Amino acid sequence: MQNPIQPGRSSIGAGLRDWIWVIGAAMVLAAGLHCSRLPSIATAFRVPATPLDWTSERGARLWAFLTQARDVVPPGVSYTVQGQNPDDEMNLYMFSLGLFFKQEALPSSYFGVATPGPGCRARFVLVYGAAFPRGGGRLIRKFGEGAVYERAA
Amino acid sequence: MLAAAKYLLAEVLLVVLGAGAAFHPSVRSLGVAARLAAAFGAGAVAITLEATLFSIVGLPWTVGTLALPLLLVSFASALRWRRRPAPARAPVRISWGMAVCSAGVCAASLIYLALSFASSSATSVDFLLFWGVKAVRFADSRGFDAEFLRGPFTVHASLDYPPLVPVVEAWGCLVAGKMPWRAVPAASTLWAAAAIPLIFERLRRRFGDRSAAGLVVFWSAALCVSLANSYSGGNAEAPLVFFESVGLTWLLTEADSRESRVAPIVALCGAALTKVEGSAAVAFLAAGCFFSDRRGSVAARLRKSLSLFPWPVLCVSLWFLYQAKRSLRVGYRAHGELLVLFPRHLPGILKAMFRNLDAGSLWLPWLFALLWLAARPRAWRRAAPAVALAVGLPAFLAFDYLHDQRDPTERIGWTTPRVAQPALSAALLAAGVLSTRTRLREFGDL
Repeated sequence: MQNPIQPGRSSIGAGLRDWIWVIGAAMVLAAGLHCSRLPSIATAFRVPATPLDWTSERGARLWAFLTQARDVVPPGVSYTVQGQNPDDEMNLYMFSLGLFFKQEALPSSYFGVATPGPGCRARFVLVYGAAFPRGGGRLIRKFGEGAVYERAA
Repeated sequence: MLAAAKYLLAEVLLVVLGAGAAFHPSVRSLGVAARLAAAFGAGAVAITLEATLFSIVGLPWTVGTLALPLLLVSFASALRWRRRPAPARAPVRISWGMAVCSAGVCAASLIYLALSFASSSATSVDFLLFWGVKAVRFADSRGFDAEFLRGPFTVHASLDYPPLVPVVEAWGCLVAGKMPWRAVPAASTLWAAAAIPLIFERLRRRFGDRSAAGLVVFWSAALCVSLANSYSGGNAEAPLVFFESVGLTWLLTEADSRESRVAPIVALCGAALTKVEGSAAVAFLAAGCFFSDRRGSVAARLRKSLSLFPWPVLCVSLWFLYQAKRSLRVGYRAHGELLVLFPRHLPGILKAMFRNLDAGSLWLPWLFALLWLAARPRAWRRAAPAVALAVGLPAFLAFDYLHDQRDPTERIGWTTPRVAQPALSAALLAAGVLSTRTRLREFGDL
């Protein structure tokens, strides 16, 4: 092979240097495992219920609620999401755009600013938490984390 | 589970869509794993460009319409390139002890990363907020969804970001028939796994087999731990690290001025198509190449460095062309006015950035890199492209944070660990160059 690049001559120093990198790599990995958020080995091999199980407990609960509610809201209809606080409501809305892509999303608030116009037009209301939906609605299904309501057309 | 398996298969199929790249003479002389990795990266870039073109002209995305043209182009490229001579590959010469230890640490790092992603302990929330959302919407509408991209209540979805990650994930959705939300983060492991053989094969040209193995195993451990720690499952960080690291390694190990730059240019196109910082990285690498190159006049060196720009610029322009065609806002959205800065935040920014650069491993990788850089400051020029990226990217981020009117500490906390990873990769590669006494005849290092 015509290689114009000549690696430096192998020496004891060079050999030691190469091992320093490998030992350093093992140290980095050990430090990484020490600081890791990975659950126990057994849990690490289990399929998570949501993509956020071990990342954000709160996010996982929001996601789980939306996946349950998805089965109740038919394609083609409009929906809005309501949460117990503006943060939850915004996160629910943002998550829902990926899960409810066959439906029309109409936010009740956006980055904490109420958007009653679009929110009130929505036919289905996904309410996270125990509250009754703002703007009313008929209960369609209740879940552990919330409920889905339908407004009169 | 079936959808997850199909999605992973779709990602692996990118290797087939970009298979032509594996036959380019500069790639053909690499090992099989490295050639497959090159095909994977080229496939991702190719499908992104093709999908963007389709959306510009109004052709719908389907598995067939996306795959068939790429297969034909790949086949034709392979036929054309395989006739060209390529240097033979020297067998890897490395002691058993070194091989076993390197492979062991490398495999352990990848397994750790895969488990972190698959168990949901390193999922990027951004994947669920916008990367994946865009992918699923694009797959459903069989193209970029202009209505979604101009919606008044979707501005949180970083609508201006370049399209590689949404396109690659949308391709997976099309093959799988739906978005397997829990499996996509696990697929991000592929990018890290693909980078390792490519970097190793190129490094051994410059460092020799043992040193290349040592450096690549350190790189793998540092970046796998960092990707897991920075919640990079499903977002654009792993592909960005892949493209920037491969492009940089290629440029650092160029043998002479006649060597083809097709591979690093494709990698830089990938970086520019992945994230906005990818375009900044192209600029840093080009500047670094200018300073490291000692051959020829200033004008010739400048010309050679600038030759890295046109293709990435063209790729990003294609995305901007789509934006213009659909009357969307063209270009990237800036964080405030360019020169309206809030320097009072600078001490806080530097402190917060330092705190968040621990890379999930107590700053050890940075410490290793900085020790080598500090020990041989006179040799920095040899590693100029890597030093430029390692220093330039954090400086670019600090400049970005200085635009925040309010205290940016919180934003630094959730962005720096992710977006500084290419800089960490570059710092390690720079340290690798400086840690060896490699002699490059044509670089005048003797």
